Amino acid sequence: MIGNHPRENTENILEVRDLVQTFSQPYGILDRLTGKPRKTVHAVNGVSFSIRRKEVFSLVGESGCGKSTTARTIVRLLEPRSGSIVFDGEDISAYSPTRMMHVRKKMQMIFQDPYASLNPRQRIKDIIMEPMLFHKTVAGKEEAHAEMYRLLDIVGFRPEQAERYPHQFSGGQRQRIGIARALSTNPSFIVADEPVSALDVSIQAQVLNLMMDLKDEFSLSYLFIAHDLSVVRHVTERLGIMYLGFLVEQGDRDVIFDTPLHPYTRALLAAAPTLDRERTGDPLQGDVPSPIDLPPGCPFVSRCPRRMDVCSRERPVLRKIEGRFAACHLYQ
Amino acid sequence: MAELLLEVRNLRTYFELFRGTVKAVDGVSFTLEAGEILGIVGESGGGKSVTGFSLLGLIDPPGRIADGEVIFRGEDLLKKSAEEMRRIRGKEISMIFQDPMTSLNPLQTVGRQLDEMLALHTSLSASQRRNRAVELLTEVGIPNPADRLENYPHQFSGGMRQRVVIAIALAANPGLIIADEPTTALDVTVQAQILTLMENLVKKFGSSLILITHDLAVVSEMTHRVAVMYCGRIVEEGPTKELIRAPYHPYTMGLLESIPRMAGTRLPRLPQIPGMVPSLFDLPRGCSFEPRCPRATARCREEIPEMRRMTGNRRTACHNPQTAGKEAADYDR
Repeated sequence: MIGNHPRENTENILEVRDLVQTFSQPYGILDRLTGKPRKTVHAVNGVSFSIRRKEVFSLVGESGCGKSTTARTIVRLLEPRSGSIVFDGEDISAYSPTRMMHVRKKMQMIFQDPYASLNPRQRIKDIIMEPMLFHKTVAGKEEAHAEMYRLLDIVGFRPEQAERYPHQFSGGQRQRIGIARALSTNPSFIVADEPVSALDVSIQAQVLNLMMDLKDEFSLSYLFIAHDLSVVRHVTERLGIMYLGFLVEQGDRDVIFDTPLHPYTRALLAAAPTLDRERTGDPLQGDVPSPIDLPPGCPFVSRCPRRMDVCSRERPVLRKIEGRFAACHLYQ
Repeated sequence: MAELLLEVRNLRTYFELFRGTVKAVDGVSFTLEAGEILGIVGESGGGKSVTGFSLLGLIDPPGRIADGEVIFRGEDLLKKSAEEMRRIRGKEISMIFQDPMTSLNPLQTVGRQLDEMLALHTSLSASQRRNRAVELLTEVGIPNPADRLENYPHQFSGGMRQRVVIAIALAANPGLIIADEPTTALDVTVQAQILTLMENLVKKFGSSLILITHDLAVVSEMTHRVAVMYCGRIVEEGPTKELIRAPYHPYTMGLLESIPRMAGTRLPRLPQIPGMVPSLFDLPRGCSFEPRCPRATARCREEIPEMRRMTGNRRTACHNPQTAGKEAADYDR
């Protein structure tokens, strides 16, 4: 993908360039015999962005837009198909699992489902000490214990709760345990994939406040993945909006929320229910198209209320317009 | 004043479990007028879904409806036999659930499921039923409705499936629809489509709607009145706009404050309600919200607050309600 790349400097903790991720659909013997074509899901299609040190950058979009796949590829839980991932000055996109090891302690992940991401058979203390001992960020068991109690205190638990198992905690408490585990290797970068979407609103506020306090205390950078725009507006400094595996707009929070340009960003902001306004205008029609056969032109063409002839022929690239980057023929 | 469609009086639904009795719904009363949209809002464990199920008599052991009346069109539904309730469900009152994939039968075509509803509750002939099914799918905005009747649920997207569920719910033109988190599983742009659709159809068919949700923003956009539930009780109830502008109950206030805003000033920290929902096995002796409440007094620890009438058709169950218009300064930022 050609086009201007937003920002290029060494203050960045993470730089992602033209990241592509695809998945092959299962191709069984019956498919082979009947001569069915192989199908590929184009999950992420040339995504570029960077995250500065101590910054929160969010990827937003609806299910299937590729935001979680992008996050999982960045932490190398998935092999990137192509493109580069530069973390803390090192290009890690082709690192072997062994070479990834020393990087991984610097980048940790917080998951969406606090019920599925903690081992039900491990005590809280072991859940938190395991990464430290594995990555040898502590000298020994004794130091690990001290560090574990310190982390538990930071996320708001009493020392005796370290002996308990995950099922003895509520969803919000488990998410705080997940956060303590992520902090245990002293990372500089945390990928938070929908960290509060499974939580009740009153608990959501508690976890968001904790995450923001920790950001200052530990000098963390976050890649924040979310679909709830009001949550994103609260936590993030910059954001990118994804649709069908493409970044369609990215820029500073206030620029995007106050004056969105891309028709999809506008539709997304208009569709989000809010306390302080009436629903206006017609909702966006239709559904997200299949990521198997990408449209040749703009990914949003099938639902765009302002589509033009050129949109189904030519794919727009991200360009700097009015203080942000947008990929739309209306502004090219 | 419009016709009173539903009156729930002092409803109590208890679950008798090994560890003790869970009072999932504990003395809930509210009314609903014809054509009205009522929101029931609260966090998990508040009892809002169990309230919805109780209205339809869909409580299985170990649960039981311990007390109360559900007066629908002048008759108490809790006194009806199982056979009578079967005739009421779907015809007079229908329900829409959160997950359209589990509320549709995956082994039957959408057409057959619509037809079953029509055959059960109307006197239409087979060909009339087919025409009606096509009409209903058109009504909920499904393209090529005649062809789509032959499709199975998995051949529809999430949003389209929820449209099918709505078509089935509307099939017998019920007076009341209970929708339990109908858009929680959907993406925002699809959620906006479904909410707009439900709002329009309720108006067109003249039904009433009870919208059960955790999302105050959805409630504020959709409903005329709202009841806020906490630990099995309604803590506050009133016209939606007024209640959201100036809540009386500290729990309502806390919920509203903890939602980040889409516009305007961004607070550096979200005001949060401290602590968490108490276990239903072990509720506080007085007000259930007392341990988390910034306005709690000694009285709140001892005495469960009764629901009382406030100004302008509003009610709240609180010993120290927030006076209207007072800024929320009680939660730490």
